Amino acid sequence: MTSSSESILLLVPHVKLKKNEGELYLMSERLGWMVGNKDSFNVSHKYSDIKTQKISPEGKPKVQLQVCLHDGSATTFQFVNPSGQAEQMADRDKVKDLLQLMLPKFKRMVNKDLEEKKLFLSENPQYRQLYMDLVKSNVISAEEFWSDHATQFIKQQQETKNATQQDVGISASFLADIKPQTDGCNGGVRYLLTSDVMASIFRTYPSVKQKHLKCVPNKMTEEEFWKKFFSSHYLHRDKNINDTKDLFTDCGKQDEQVLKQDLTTAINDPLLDLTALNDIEDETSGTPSNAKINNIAHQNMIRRFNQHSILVLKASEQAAGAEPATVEAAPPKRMRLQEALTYDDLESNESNPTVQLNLCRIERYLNGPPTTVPSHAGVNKNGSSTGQAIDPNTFKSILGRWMRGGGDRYNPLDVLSSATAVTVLGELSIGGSLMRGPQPNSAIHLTSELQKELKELYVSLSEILKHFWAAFPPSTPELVQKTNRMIDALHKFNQAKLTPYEQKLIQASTSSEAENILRPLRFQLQAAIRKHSQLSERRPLPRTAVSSM
Amino acid sequence: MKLNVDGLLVYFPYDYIYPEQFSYMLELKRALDAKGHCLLEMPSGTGKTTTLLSLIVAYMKAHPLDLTKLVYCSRTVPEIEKVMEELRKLMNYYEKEMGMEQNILGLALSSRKNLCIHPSVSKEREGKVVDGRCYSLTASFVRARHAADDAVPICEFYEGFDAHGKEFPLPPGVYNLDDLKEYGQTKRWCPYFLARHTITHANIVVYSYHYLLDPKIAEVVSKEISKSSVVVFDEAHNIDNVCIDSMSVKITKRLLDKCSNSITILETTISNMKENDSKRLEKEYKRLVEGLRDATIARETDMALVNPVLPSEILEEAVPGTIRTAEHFVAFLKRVVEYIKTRLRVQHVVQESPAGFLRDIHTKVCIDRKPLRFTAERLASLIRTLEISDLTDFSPLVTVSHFATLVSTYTKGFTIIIEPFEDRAPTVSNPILYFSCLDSSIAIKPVFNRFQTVVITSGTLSPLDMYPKILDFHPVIMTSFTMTLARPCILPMIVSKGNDQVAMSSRYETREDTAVIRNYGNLLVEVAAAVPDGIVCFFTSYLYLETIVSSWYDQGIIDQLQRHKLLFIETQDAAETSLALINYIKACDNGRGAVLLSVARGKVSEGIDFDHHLGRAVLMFGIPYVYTQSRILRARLEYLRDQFQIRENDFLTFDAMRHAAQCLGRCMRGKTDYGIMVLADKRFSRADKRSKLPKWIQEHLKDTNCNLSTEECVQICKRWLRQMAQPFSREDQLGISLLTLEQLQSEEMQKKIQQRAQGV
Repeated sequence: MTSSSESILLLVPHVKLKKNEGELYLMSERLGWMVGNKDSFNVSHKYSDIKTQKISPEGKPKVQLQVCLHDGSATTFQFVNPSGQAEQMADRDKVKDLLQLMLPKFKRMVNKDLEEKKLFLSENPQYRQLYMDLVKSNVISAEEFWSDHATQFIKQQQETKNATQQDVGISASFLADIKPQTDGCNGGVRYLLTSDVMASIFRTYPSVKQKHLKCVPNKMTEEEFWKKFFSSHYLHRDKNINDTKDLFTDCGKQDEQVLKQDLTTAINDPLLDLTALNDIEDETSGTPSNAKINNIAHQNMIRRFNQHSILVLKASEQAAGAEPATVEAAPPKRMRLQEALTYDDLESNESNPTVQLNLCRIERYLNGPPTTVPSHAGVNKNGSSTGQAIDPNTFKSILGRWMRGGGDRYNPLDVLSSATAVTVLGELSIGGSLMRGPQPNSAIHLTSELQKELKELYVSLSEILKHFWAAFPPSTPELVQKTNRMIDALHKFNQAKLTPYEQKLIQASTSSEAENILRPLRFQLQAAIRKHSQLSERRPLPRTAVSSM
Repeated sequence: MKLNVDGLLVYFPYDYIYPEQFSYMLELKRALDAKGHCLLEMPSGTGKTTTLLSLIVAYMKAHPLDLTKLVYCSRTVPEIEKVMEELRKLMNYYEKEMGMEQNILGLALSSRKNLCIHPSVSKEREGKVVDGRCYSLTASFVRARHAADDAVPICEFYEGFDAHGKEFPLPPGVYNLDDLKEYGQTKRWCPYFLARHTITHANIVVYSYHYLLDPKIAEVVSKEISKSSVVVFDEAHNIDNVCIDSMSVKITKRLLDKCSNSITILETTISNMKENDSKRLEKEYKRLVEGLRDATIARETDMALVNPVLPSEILEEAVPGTIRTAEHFVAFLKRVVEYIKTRLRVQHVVQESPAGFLRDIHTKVCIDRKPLRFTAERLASLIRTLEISDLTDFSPLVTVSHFATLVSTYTKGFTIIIEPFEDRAPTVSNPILYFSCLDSSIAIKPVFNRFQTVVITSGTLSPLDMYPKILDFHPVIMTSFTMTLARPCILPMIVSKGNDQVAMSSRYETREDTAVIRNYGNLLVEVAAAVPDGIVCFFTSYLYLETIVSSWYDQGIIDQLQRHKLLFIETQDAAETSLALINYIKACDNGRGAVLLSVARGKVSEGIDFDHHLGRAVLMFGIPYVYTQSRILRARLEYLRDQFQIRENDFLTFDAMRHAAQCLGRCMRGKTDYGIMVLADKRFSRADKRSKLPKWIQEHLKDTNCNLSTEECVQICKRWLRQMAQPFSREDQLGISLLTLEQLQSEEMQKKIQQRAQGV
């Protein structure tokens, strides 16, 4: 059944799936299983769908291999080679090894995105509803929904993006994790090297990475390279670095150079600089006589431990911040000293109750909302000045108005003129415009279902309208595009949602009531359409006519 | 807050106070009133410096005639700068409270290396080079030459200071090293000489021990400090060693070879001068006849070379005739150097007294004691006369001249030891002559005699009675303060055995035992797994650290350790260690956590604080005894036994325990801090060791925690860490370990404080 272009990489007979025996095929892009006598796959998984593979532990009676998929399901194959468990194991290992090779190639991130979206919708019902209303009914496209409407999702994603920017550091013991394993029979030593460890080595020792880039494809194989690495001083800290035969000698020298450079540049804390600790140097300390007799191998080892830790720290620093290149300026010496000598608990903490003002847009703060300014007579008429102090005289006069006749008591009566007060009171008393209760005739009893639907309509419409009005004024072509899209969406909404609902309402009650209920919705819709048509009159827009409502 | 300390109004620049700070003030005031010396131990990290400063400044203000000056000696440059910042804080508080400028001048003094602002000289990193280059630009003859010939370079900053600096004294204020430099830059005056000049009239001087204890320097810098001063030695637990070092000389073969070169230079210069300008030499000769104390000595810049002997003893006399002429003196020097060279040609260790040495030198090369005593002074004079501007090459010769002078001046309290090779490398010939001071009281005696009050203080002075003995003085006050704590924020423990019940000890017999080393390693790994952030370990010696690290590597303990934390190790290279330290702190700051392996008596243990998360646990592996086979130490022990009736073992234990305590104290700063102190050696639990720990540590060392295995120790750590991790607010502390003014004044508290003060 499959296209013949697919090459079969491995065929394993005697594989059971759900009690049926069959054959397992590993192809270039997928794996498949078919019952022995058929000619089509009963089960077929693309490698890109496979998350991981698991194998049954040794010693279990059944020899199995499980393939876990991204969607959470799994398929378990059992190897039932009649010639015994050893053969079964061999079969399994063949499959395992091949899969191990293939899977990383197909590892893709597409599914992850989809999963995330799914998760988000299931966690946020209001968005799911919106998605149902807008996307399922083809009012807007799914892409548009995810990029524009699901604001919370966007935020969340950004957060996770920020969070993932903080990379996992490197374990200090990654070299220790490479444990030599003797394979018993021929006295050889095996090292297990995972890709994680490799990445750690490259990140910690950039010089090894360079060497790897230089040597591996052309001068030696990957395997040879790592074999050399394992015998180098990196793993055997007590080895002498000056062994000229070693491939990594110059790497060691490079590392040494970096360290030397650090010695001159990185010691920037006056409290920690041991070389400058003593005011007057001892004459005795200048002679390194007693240092020489000590074991040089030990000293080298100690230096290498320090170097290793420093490099690990550096590597994780580089991962954490994007700007490690600039050596952070040393804090001023005096600040550092004061920091070192303050006692938190002796200090009273009442002295600093200030909260730091966190402004996301400073210019807005400085300019202020211009409408409020002119209300004060004579102050900042232009309304654009930035945070000027109020002229003290004006301020006084305003204050004076508040204080009655220069008296010392605040008079509340002076705030409003009595006429205004009466009008406001009138508006607020029963029968006033602000106190008009729900009109009796609008009280239609909708079924809860219809009510719910109405609510959803409101939410969906306002979501689209929000984006429509957000595009105003449409000064750029993109914004014009957006208004067009939104108006299309509105029209679609009208057709696909509003009209059916109206029909339903009419069935439930009278048409006039239905109209009453939907009037605010329609009004909003009309307003947007009107605005848009005004706009398109002024500037003929190249767009296909949409049926008017 | 404003305190009433026994009738004295003290401004304390904080809103709260620790009870022990108040007790400390009371004791200190008593000592000042009595005009006697005192010995005060207060736990590290309880604000000793600020307490000292506020009381003494208050005392100076109240009794300006009785107490004119505070000389504050600290050990390291950062410490000096910290003291200055504390002082600045205090003075700011005074200004705020009193509303006016304070008429107090405080300044820090350091070597030229830290104060030079000359564009090229200040770039040098090595102190000696800076001194030498400074001398070559500011010596009087250089300036005289410059007056004749503009091409001769001089230092414009020194000239600026010389022209105007002396008339305009430094305005009152607090001058840290950087402030001095800044002031010097704006005025174009040399900050170093400005500071040295200002010492005479400053109210508060902060500098390093050497300026007072090292006679070579004290003579120049601190000569004019008045008697009515109070001298404070902070971090003084090591003061006897500083005293001894300042009086000891070490001569190696290489040094002597360099001496010969210098002598040749001297010879050629003399013969040149003879041809060109013989008058100068004659003048010098005449001057020497009249006596050494001639006018040139008053020229401050010429004093790069000084007599190592205590002030005013021999200098009144005239220089003996045999070394008055330059050639004679050079020949004399040659003989001395050659003689020492022959002495270094030994096959076995020689130890002799200065008297024996003098006799020998007399019989072998016919050099009398008297000319020998004048060697240092005569050499200084000669170098001045010859107008040699580059002094750095002459430092070996200067060392030898110091030795000659010292050996002929002191017959008691010194010994000469000549070792043909080092004990650890008997095949490598490396002869060294040690002229070693055995009596720490010699260097400090003039200080005690001269000043009315000397305060010796530190976080770790226990046992207190040892210091008066070895420094030979009689304190009026001797007190050890404990730390009042609202929660048990230190957890000292003695771990005596590993999980396999093998005793842990750094005893000489067992220290190479793999079981012991492995147990030490397991202890560290388990503690590293349980304790967050930084852990600092101290080993008894660098050699021991090296062997342990390599064994740990072989045993796979390092790998295990790296699974939990990053590993940093102190090396013998100071710069490398600094880099490791900076990264250690980085690792602690970013939350990874790190382990620092370090050495007791090393630079890290003496100069770096590991407060808060930088040191949540300190492990002391073994008892940090000095290398007891050292002959110098042996000689000193013998001397102590004969002269002061101090038993060898007592002294050794005392010395080891003060260093252990010093290491342990590194992790505490303030009462919000907390730290674990693990003493990993069986012998710590013995009474003679335990009782020598400072009181504030002893108090928290429960009997149940004195004989723990690794596992028990880790369990206790875990429980304790959980307790410490609970929020700790000021309210918890108030009234117990932290007092407001009202609480302090309450009768009950006053009574308590009185009791505490007397309870010692």
